[in-house]
Amino acid sequence: MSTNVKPKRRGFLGITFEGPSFWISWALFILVPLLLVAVLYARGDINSYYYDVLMRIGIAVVMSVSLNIINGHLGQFSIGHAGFMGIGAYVSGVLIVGGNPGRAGVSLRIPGLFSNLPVFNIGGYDFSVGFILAALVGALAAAMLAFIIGIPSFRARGDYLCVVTLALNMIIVNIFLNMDYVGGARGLTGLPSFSNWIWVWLTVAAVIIVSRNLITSSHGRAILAVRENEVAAEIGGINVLRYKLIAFAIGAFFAGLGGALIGFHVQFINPNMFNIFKSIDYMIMIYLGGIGSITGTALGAILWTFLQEVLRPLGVWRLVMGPALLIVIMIFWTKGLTQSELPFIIKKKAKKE
Amino acid sequence: MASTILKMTDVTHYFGGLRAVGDFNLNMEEGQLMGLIGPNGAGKTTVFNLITGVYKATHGSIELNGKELVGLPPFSISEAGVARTFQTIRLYGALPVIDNVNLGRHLRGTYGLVPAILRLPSFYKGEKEFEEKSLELLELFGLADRAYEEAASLPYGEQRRLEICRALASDPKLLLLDEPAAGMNPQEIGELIDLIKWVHDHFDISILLIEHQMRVVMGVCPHIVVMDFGEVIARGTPEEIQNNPRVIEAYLGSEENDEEVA
Repeated sequence: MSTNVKPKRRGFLGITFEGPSFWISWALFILVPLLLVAVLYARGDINSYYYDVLMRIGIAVVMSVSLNIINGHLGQFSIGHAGFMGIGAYVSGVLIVGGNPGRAGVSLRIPGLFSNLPVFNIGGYDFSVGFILAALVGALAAAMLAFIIGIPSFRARGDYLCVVTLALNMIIVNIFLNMDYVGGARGLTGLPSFSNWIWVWLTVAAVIIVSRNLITSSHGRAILAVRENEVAAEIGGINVLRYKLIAFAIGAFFAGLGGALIGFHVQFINPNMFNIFKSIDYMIMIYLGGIGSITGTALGAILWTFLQEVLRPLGVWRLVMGPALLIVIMIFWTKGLTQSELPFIIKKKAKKE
Repeated sequence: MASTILKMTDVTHYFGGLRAVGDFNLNMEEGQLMGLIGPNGAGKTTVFNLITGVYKATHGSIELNGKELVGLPPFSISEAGVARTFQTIRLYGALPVIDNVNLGRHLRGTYGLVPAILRLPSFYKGEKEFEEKSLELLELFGLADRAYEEAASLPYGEQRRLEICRALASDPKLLLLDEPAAGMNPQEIGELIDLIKWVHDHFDISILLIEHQMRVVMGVCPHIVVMDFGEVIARGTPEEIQNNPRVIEAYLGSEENDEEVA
């Protein structure tokens, strides 16, 4: 046999999540941040502002890593990710608090389907059975929509999906805006605070594990093959349409979960929380961190959300500084922060070896 | 007498009003190595695209071992046992060499999506099998020591070889090679001739070969079909083809015509 050795995966911070420490490394990855933040917040060591930022960062990671499955791994261009988030938020919201079938301003609520399911409180954190079910139904609704939209969009080659998802995002927002049942422009209010760090981190862990295990399997290889050379994949016996739909639906599923998490965290939802500018935010995150890399897109989400908070004193100029910074990063590190040769990180690694 | 592997009957294909292939008939016997030649624009690659399902024939039938291929999606045709390479190399450039071969085998069955995500035992078993079989095949093609390198980083000749290797990973009955010698230097062409002969003997498959390099076609194929303007103008052994007046006319133009023009 040859002397060629299978290279080790780069992993995250040198942890490869494979081999003998497989279960331990994954268990630590799930449990440590989960317990750390949950315990510190319950003890009052993290104030509610930082907790809110942590929640937003976690949800942004869910959104960017799930968008990366579609845009980074599959290589299609979906620009309406917030639309799927909106579906998840509204469907889960309606299932818990119900809708208003009367005219705007008239309080005539129909109770949500899952509103009377038990809620357990452990250490100050709510574990609502209704919320879990509602979030899953919302996510499934988003995945179903992606599936239905995907069939005609993927039949045509090229960047057709880009136009379709853009339109879809706008349609979703406009439907919510004009639907009195879900509160129209005022949105859906009075959502219970069922979303907390435990659910957010579990979803973060789920999206990272699913996306990583998917992409390192033979099915993931097929998804990457579609990105690398669609014609060769199709003729090489890969059911391109099937893999496009799988990747698109999984991405939309986690976007739906992200929507449920943000809705029950801020306790109200309105259509503009899910408009095209939000979608663009998620795209910025994945390009900032490094499209195609799970670590990169997660880092991009963390950085971008963090930056929005750090630049808050700048007021309106924040909206200028953020994109300006993005331009600078794109010029110097064109593939995003984790994929480009960063002088300070690479040099360190070279010395170690 | 060997049985027929590929039977194309009256295959015709139009691009709008242009007839790219007209009443094309071809009978390939099992284990045959056949060359398909013709001037530029004769419709050779269109024939390949019709067999592999990139285009759906306007009419006519294409049968592989008696199974009708017209109307099937490309991946079903691959599943039925047709594999091909491309005129311009189409590898999965950013993926490792071994993954390119793994993807060739993908259609021969793999573990499910759920075992992949939950990392069930069938995932590990399946991946081990993929790796072993692909390394074995790469070893035969002399590419095993580059198995974990990016496919795009290989030199041109090795990329061509990898493309053939990937096609063979799907266990095809019929291999279509579209101008494998394009862009190769004389030494690489010599190696390619040996490779094609070796693949034909070693894997026990039928090969249909499009080629412009006469040295390759004449050196490799005992049977040759010549196309011009979407139609078959000649069939036979290399010697017969070389002396066929219609072939000479198609490639060089006829003397009479030249005189008329002059």
